[in-house]
Amino acid sequence: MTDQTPQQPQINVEEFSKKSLEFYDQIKAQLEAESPNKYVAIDYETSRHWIGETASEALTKAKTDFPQKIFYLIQIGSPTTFSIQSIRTNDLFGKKNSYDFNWAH
Amino acid sequence: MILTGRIDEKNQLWVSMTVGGLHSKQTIEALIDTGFNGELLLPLQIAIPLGLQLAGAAPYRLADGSISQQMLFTANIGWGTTSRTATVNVVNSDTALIGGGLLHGYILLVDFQKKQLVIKEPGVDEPSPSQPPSKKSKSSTLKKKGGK
Repeated sequence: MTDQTPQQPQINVEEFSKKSLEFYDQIKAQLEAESPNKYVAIDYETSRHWIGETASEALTKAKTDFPQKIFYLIQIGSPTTFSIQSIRTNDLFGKKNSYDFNWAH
Repeated sequence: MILTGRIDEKNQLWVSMTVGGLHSKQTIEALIDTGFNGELLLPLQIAIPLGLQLAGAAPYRLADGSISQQMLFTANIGWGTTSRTATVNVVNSDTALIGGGLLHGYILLVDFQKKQLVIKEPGVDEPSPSQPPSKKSKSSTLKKKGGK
């Protein structure tokens, strides 16, 4: 039987985040002046970004233009996008920050 | 959109919703956690069978003050009469969490005395025993597909 599940992109989170943040640093000042506290999905490969009032709005805009790509999500002006006060480091899965398995298994 | 949740004996706020990925859809009950600013957080054992779509990565700040880069997924969720796409954080926990991000644009009404919890869009009447909810305004920040 053929697996009809769409192929999931593979990701090395550490490397992906590093390159994304390098691109974000180039547009950071402009974004913080124009869209403070909003969310931005960025793609360092195309040097493009999409802004939204919410995390899902920014990602949806980005996915509309590039359905197969993955994006780095930042809340503009904040060092972190998500804050989870009930979860500690030990509760995260995969401490190596490298996930190359197919989630849609 | 208007929906009711429940308040348990520990005064925790719970809401039922459907969560769907590339493989399947499941009805879950999630805890409203105002200490979480994302949209939806799912335990691994719920997230993996759904086949969530990988959307990218984002920096997280955790309870111990640490900051780490983690993967970010998307899911189709249905709650009340609304279905939409939500970002999903996946962790090794037992409880699904609804964060402040998912409540953006909604009104959260909590009556701890009567143990009543209502989430509604602005302009929607609260339910009464004799009257079904009606919509006064079409204003909403959320994309609605309706029907489900």
